Amino acid sequence: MMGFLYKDLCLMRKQIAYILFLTVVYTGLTVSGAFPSLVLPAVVTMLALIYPLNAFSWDDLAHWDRFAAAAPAGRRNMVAGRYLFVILLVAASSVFVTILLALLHLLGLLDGPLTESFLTVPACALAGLLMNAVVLPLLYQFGAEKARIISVAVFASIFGACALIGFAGTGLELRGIPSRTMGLGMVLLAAVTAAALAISFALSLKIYQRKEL
Amino acid sequence: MKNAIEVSHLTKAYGDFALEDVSFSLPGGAILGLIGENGAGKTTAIKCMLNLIRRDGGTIRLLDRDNLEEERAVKEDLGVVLDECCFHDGLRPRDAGKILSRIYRQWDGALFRDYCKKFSLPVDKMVKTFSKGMKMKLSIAAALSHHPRLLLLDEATGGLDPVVRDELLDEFLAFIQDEDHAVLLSSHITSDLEKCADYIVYLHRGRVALQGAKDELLEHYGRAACSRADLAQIDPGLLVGKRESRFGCEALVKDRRAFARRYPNITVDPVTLEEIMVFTVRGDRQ
Repeated sequence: MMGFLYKDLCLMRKQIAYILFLTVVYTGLTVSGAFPSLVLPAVVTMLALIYPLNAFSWDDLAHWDRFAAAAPAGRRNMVAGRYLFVILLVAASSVFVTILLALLHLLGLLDGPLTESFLTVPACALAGLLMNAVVLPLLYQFGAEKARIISVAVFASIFGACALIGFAGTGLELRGIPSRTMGLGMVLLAAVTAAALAISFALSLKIYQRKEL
Repeated sequence: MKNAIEVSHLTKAYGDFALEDVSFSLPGGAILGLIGENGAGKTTAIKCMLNLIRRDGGTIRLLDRDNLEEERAVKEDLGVVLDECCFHDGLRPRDAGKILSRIYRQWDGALFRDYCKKFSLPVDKMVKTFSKGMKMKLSIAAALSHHPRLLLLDEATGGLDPVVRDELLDEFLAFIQDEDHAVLLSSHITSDLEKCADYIVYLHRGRVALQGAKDELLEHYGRAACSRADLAQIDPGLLVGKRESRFGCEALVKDRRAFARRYPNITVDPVTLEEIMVFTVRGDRQ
């Protein structure tokens, strides 16, 4: 499993400059007031959705799956490596965005309470993981190209729904929600995400073990 | 080790193609050339050995172990090269080595670096900058660097220039110097197999059309050159396939010595693996 994870990380390494550029752009737009501060944590969700898809595309291009499945580590470890990659990607980007938010607050470049910014990071991270729980089995079933359309549809429907809520003027005011409720909500979301990932992993494994390569 | 490979009654059906009742074996210390036209079932047979596809029937034993029951243990001892380099363009050989060191228990980093050096592969350059030959050499270096006992090579020399091919064939010959090692090389470059293979299995339309020791096959079969009138007199049972042109006829004969005794006036020349393949396909069409 570690070999497959290491491979994904090696390929991801080449993308770091691009991610940093993207983060600088988003940070600039947030600091200038063009975007609300909640956009920065959304970078975590975006990375969580884009990079697993890219990892599948890169593997398809290289015909990696046939080679990897012929290795002793086997299909179970290939799938486990990919899930671990997604979790690590989300964790690392969450830590990065949290540090970035803290720095921006310290420098006085962001308005609003720090806790609100901080809370949105795990919420976005869990949302990213939840979306992956849906998308990963589809990627194993249909491959990167077909599943890309489905992933975009999942992404668009979630963000579209959020945007509609915003336009309807019924946006959630985080500041108005009691912290206890917020905490419970976060724990519930974490539990749902963990369960969804476990089910998703089992499903992906079943799909991939049956797949002819 | 009795046999490095024992494939018995292997069957695998797709919609319009089926591998039917394929059986062959390969003793240790030898190279088996798996030949056949495109779509004959070579890759399907190799994929079944690697459990990349599910077989419908038959058994496969690799290095005295069932390839499904002891899949992990078997695969630790297999070196695999598929028809295309499977390393991502964005990786360097150094990265590939680090990845594979976490996949194979017996990975030998020093050996991998030695092979890279031997094959003149720069370890710090991206795979995307490599030529096709370099990519294939990288695949072979990777396949050899965990001390495998059996190499499964699917069209590993296809598309390479003769110099690189020759270099790789030397490597395969060096690999089998010890009786504990063996190579299965699927290719339709039959001249390569004439240089290095000890055994030949010829797959045609999903079935084994012929198999045996290469030298015996080349000794046994012959190419008869004759006129149309002579050809008409030959017992069809002795012919595998024929080719007619304005200038005369050629036919593949099964038992060249017996044929020469029976038809002393017809010239019978030694045959190549390619001619055996071509005539068999033609014979099948006729």
